[in-house]
Amino acid sequence: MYPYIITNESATVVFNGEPHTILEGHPNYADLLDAINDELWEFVPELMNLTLAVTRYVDGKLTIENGQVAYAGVPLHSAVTERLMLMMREGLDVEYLVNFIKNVCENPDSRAVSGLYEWIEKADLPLSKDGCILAYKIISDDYKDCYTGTLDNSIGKTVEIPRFDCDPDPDRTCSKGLHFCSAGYLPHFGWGQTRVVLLKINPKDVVAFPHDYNISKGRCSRYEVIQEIAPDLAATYFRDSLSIWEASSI
Amino acid sequence: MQMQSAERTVNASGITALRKSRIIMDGTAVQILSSGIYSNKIGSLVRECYSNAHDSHTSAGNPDAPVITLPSALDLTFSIKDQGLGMSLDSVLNALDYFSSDKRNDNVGIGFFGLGFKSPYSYTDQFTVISIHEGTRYIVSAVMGEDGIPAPMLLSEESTDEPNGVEIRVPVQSVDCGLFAREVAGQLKLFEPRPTILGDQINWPDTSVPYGAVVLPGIGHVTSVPRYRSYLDQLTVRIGPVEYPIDRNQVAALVDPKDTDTLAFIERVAGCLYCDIGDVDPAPSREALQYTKQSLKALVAKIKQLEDGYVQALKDQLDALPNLYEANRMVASWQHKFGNNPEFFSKLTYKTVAVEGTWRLPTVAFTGARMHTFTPGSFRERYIFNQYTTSVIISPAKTTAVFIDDLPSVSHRQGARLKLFMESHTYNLLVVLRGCTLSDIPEFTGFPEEDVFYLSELNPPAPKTRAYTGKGTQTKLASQAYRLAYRSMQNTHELNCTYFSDPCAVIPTSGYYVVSRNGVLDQQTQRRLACTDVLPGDVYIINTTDSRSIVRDTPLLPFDAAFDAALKDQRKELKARLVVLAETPDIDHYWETLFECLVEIGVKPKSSPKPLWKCFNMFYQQKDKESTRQTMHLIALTEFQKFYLDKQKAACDSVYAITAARDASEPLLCRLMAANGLPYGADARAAVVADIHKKYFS
Repeated sequence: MYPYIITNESATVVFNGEPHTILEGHPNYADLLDAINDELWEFVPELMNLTLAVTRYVDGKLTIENGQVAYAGVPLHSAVTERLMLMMREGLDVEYLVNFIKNVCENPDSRAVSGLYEWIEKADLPLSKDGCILAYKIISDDYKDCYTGTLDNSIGKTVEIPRFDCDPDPDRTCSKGLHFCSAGYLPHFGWGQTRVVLLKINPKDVVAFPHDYNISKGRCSRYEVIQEIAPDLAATYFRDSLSIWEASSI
Repeated sequence: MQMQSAERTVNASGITALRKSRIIMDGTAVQILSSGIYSNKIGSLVRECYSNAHDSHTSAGNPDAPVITLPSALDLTFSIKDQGLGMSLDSVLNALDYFSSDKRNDNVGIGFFGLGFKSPYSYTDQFTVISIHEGTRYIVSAVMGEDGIPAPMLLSEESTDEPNGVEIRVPVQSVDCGLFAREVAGQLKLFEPRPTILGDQINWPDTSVPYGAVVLPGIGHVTSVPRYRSYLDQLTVRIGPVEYPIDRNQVAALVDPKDTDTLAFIERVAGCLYCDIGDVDPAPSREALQYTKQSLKALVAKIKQLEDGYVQALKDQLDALPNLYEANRMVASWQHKFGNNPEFFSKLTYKTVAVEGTWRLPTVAFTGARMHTFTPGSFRERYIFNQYTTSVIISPAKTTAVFIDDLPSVSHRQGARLKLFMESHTYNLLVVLRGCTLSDIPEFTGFPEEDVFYLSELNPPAPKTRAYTGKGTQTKLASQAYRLAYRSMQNTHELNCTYFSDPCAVIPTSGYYVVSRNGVLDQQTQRRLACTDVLPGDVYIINTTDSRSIVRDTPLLPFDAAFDAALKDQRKELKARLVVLAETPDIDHYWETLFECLVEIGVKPKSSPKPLWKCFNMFYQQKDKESTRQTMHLIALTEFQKFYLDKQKAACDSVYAITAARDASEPLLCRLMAANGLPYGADARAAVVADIHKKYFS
């Protein structure tokens, strides 16, 4: 048994000689009260100290330093922590995120790296098992790209252009590169195109996320066309059919 | 911190009962004291808790900064940890009492009210204090009791070998993690040293004095005194490491209404006052000031210091400039930046001379590069309507020329003259000033006089070719005269003149004399003098209102009673013109007038000897001008001699005298003698003159 104080809004428990206080809005607050009521003291430390829980969850593949998730000693963007917590709560495999981080580390452009973290925070699209991001692309009826009409975006195709031929400047909204977007951008694309395909993009191939449109579109140098999705279903496709945090089948 | 308070005495009589009012300490009172007084809950708890940690380090002599651990998604706890004096259990429990403070005896610490330690109650109903004091570690949970009154609970007491210090741990909602980081940056930016941050990174705001602000050490800094203040132009006071906004209305109420300067300064100044702890009383929340009389007096005194210091600093900046013109330009730039605030700018001086800013100076400035893009028409438009500009910095560089616009009207085509000048010179900047005289220039611009030109000195544009059909002789003659003047002006050169302003001065008996009747040379005379080939030092300008008293015995101006009579007689105007002609030895004009004189005295073109007429014709056609002049000169004089001797000798006495004097036209002689390699000094010229006189007039 640990000493504890519970009020209407908060709970303090002293274990390992240190006081720990959490507020009512804490994700484990209700579980903590249940554990204290049921005197399940062995669960209390991990319920109160998320660092302990996350440390166990990442199993040494990532580290926790001063409340921040780190990879190879380098603290990662807070979006990674958020994603990690959600995946832990869903009981998903942390390997997806670790592979994503490994791929991100291969990206040579720090601005693109920063954009990638914001992408996983805002795009609400899953990660593939090998650490790639998924994204949408609008194409023409004949599976060609809308701008040049020459690149074949048929299902299963891999489209690639030299990275040096892509514009890495995030301040230029529309510029050279292979474009992709999140579901939030699809309504902005009003060219009357009817096909939407799902792309798989390795984070190392991402070139830029233009600052406009709230990181809802990006440019890369290489992607793989996975499947076609009905445009009206794109916004809710992963919420309804797969976990939004991990695309286990891809 | 020590508050400013006056001793209070109460004298009463006839009192039948006395009861002291109490403070009812219930949940409502606690809620007001711990939360209600703070409008910014998170910012207040960050500031108050860190102030305590900062004070503790100061008291313990620890130069290091306390450590702040920011909350994150994994660890939802905000922590401030110091390694100061530490607190015993009693001290911790006392500190959790309201209005309990041990910092009221000096102005070293920031604390005073005994409220800040409880400020986390404004955010949560439970936080933890960990104190290490003399080898014992106390863990106290500050909990808001069921009745709304805090009930601290001791959770743990154990011995430790850690150094003294206190740590405050506050639980945080996950959505507030970023807010805590932002408040740490905003509230603690002025603390020295800044806290050591663990966890997320802090983007500290720039706390340096704004660019261009005037800093007065120990008093404050002034960013600007704008004419129209925006909401960004705040006046604040910095007390220790905490900055408070100042309510201008509160401060202005204490200023004498007659002191309009200070009132205007308070209304418009944007900046910050630097006050020591204890000078001005903050409100218990430390989010505002207490506008007590003592605080207001201190603020007004500080603002007056700031005003005086700011004006003096600006004056010093102006005095450091090389000249009044630069000072005016500096003031103009301030006026451009802050708006024209006449009450304030009227205080500025440049070495005791009032500076109003160049926006009032009728100045035109433009660069040479731009000049070439102007058509004369567009330049004139700019010149006339844009009387000033502040976009060009004038520096006393040699490549800069200053022009004084002394032409009477735009019909003289100032722009065209400047354009001609720019095409033939390498000056890269022209400045045209109006309303100045030559003596003003060094003071205004710092340029030496040799870099200054009058616009009237510049070559006028070439006359347009016109066909004189049916416009009359007068128009034709005027046009010819203009052409002659224009051509003569092609040969401008510097002219040194000696001025005689003393009527009793000893006048040399040789040389050229020009009478100036109003104290300065008129432009026409200057231009004519500049067009001659007279040598430096050969021209004397006699400055007097009574020319006769000086010029009577001079060789070139033999005024006499006949001349005075001629002046009054309109019919003898021609003679007067000849006298004036002698005053201004313009060669071309001389010949033109001489021709008219010959016509007047009866030497008609048709009846005159053919060689003379031919010479005039050649002269007007500009063919072989020099030789024609010489020939014409001799023939004309011969004609005059005949006329003088044979027909109207008596009537032409003065003409003869003038012509005789003109015969000693030294510019022409000098030029001829110099051109032939002869010495052309005064003695040599006198010998030649005597020879001519003997040959033609004896």
